[in-house]
Amino acid sequence: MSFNFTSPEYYFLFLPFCLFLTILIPRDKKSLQISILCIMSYLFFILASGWHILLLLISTLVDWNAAKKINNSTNISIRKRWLKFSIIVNLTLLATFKYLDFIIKSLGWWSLELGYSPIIDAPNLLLPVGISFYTFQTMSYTIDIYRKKYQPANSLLDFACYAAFFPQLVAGPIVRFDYFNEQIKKPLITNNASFRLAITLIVYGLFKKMIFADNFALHVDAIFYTGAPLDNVIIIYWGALLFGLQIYCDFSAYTDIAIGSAYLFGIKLPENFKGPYGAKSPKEFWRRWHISLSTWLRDYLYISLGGSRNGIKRMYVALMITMVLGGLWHGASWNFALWGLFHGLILVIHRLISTNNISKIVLKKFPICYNLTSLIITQWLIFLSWLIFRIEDNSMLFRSIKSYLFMDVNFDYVEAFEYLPGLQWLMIFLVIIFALLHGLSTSQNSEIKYSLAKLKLPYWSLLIGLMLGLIWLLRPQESSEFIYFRF
Amino acid sequence: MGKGLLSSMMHLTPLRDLVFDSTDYSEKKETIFQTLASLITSLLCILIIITSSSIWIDGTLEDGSVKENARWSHLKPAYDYISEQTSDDVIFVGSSRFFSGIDGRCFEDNSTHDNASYWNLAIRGDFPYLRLPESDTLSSTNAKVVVIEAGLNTFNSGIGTRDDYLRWEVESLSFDFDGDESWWDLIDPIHHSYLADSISERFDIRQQFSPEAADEIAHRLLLFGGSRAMQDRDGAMPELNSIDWPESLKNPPRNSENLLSKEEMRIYVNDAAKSSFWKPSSDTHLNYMSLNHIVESLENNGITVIFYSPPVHPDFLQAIPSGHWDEFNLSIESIQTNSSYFIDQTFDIWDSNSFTDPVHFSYLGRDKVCSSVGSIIDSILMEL
Repeated sequence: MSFNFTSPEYYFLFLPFCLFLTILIPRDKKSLQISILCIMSYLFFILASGWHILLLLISTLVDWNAAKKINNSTNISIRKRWLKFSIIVNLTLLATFKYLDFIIKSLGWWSLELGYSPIIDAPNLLLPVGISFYTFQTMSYTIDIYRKKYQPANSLLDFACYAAFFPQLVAGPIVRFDYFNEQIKKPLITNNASFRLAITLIVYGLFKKMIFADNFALHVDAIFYTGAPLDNVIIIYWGALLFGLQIYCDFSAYTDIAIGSAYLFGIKLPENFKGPYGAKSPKEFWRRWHISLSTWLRDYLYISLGGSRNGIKRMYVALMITMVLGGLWHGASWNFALWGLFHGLILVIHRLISTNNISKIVLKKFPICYNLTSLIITQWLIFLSWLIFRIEDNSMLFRSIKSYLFMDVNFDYVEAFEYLPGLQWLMIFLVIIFALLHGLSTSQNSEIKYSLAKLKLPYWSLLIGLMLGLIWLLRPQESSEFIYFRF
Repeated sequence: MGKGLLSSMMHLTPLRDLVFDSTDYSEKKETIFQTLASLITSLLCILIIITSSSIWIDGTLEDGSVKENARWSHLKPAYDYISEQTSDDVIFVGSSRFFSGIDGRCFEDNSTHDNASYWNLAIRGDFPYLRLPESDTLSSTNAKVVVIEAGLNTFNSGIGTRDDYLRWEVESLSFDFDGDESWWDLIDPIHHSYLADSISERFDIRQQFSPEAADEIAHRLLLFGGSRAMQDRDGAMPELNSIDWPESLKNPPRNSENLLSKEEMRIYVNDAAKSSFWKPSSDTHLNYMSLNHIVESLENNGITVIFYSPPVHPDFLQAIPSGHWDEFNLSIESIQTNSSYFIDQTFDIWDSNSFTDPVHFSYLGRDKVCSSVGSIIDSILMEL
């Protein structure tokens, strides 16, 4: 497994060393602090993804220059040309390393279907870590400069640090330059309070990743494996539920550790999740799930496609295109496109229903019943979509969806219990604990981790010790890689 | 959205002031002393969790609810128990063939020796190499005699699979290795990781089993105490140090006899006759060297060693191709030359109803072993 947020070296070597170096630098030498942070970020990237750092450097230099040219010119065609150049370079890098294999393999498959032999073999390129995140991040910079939202970076160093900042480099959150730049304008300072918050977030993230996500993965991997009894409705619902929880715990854990790591340097990163499984509509789900991506897609794709400015039909088309491309952003596979399409469809259907007068009357008369029904239907659809996201094999996916829809199924709990690879009771306990924590976070409208950071010191230290002790005890032997590392 | 459940609860009770800082965390100032105290509290909490976990992890390992072969974790207490006895102890060590074939209680009842106790500490899947880490403890039991299996599988050049080394990991929790033992050099370096020789390595091993142990505890909580270990399982051990426990060390608990049908036996015999597992070798492989080490260690401690090669199913004996066991014969010859006591029944023809399969004994066979071998061991005991 590559260097990442679950590597002991990150916590015992990299992070303390980086923090030590940054703190050692006097506060009046802010640029030196940024330089160290930038160098350490590149080191992090090399450890995680090796020579692919060249792609990050290309992206950084191209966007830095393009933004400068755009800003320096008043000629609209020159500005456009540089914007196009930046977008083409970024998308070419993304397309080559992320989608080329997929395109060649798809073409090869079609050639075989039509009776021809494939002309070229897929080069089997290794996916550079975090390419989807940093290309979107740097692209947002040039687009924002083009839209005159803010002034370009004062120095290449500031911009390079923004593009490569190690906590969010690999799997987000996707940060906008103005947000980041505001924080590095002043010297990087950390204090007891932000240190405590950082530790809480890091430990809470590790707790979610290593206890919840990694244990759930054991059952999920067994369920969505060739030969599993996918006609058993219990297996399918258990698999869909656990995968939904796994991907949330895995990704939100990464974000928590990223935000916590950034806090150590006095930098605040935006939240990426706000209790997504408490969403009562698909639209609300996307306001709570992977917020930095959904807002990016809204600001730079959906709005560019016309948004809601050109009538309702065009809006639906823009929404569908945005969601399909958003799905494909996750990976070069048809099931991601299908996942995006499914989300696009339910967003459109929800909009059609919610603008209907009847639903407004029902909401007014029976608010609790309406909200509860909305919650159940939304989450049922969200967990159905996770099947599309998770299962790549067409026949398995088809069979699973049929079972999810109670078509041609059996209901054998003994078979389900015996098929699962042990730890059934532990999983049930974890699901219950997850539901409690998630429910509390959603009802408070603020993640519980922030409340934990506010605990009085003795309670806080006991809690941190308890969480670390439980991580040591309950983590499975094999830790799985962060799911969003693949994207 | 209204106030959350937690925050509402906290506002309603004085607990809020006790648990939450009244100021915002971003404004809170803490002294270095407080920060250090909090770090120490966290560390203590981790240590308490980790150390106390050994109670329930070891407990679930001992009763066989986490790993089926609970006998592994009973070996150290068994050796300790035997060494506390004032009787003239005879210990049998070997594989599943000894496990199924030795009834220590029967040996004891038929013995003319007043003060003899017969203990069957055989383990399924045992090889001399796997027994190596126990050799020092076995030697210090003050047993009068140790009967070692010297059968076909004893001289197999294979040294086990990953599952076999699970036994070492479990045993590491009770045996006190420190890496300086005389047998340590015989262990293949790639297997050192399975033998914990420090506290931290023992905790690492416990960690491997902890999710399963936690699952077992959850099972018991949900089923109000019902343990998976209580399932009627072949070879399941009674609770450690319970009244039934010493008896299980004499006569391993077997639930039932699964006698093979004629066809099943034919297939099994044919497969076994071709299998490399049942084709012993005579080279200086690790099992051979381990056997020598164990014998040497026992003899140095004044313990008499008896080798016993049990018989096999007559059909198996017939199915063996000519020359298949030549190397085994060489090994046996070498042992016979160097040792005083060797009970060789390899080529004895026993009734087929003495076996449940080509190599394991039925209840009838076990009784026959008791009567045929018991008197020999008894006479050796009288000599000593």
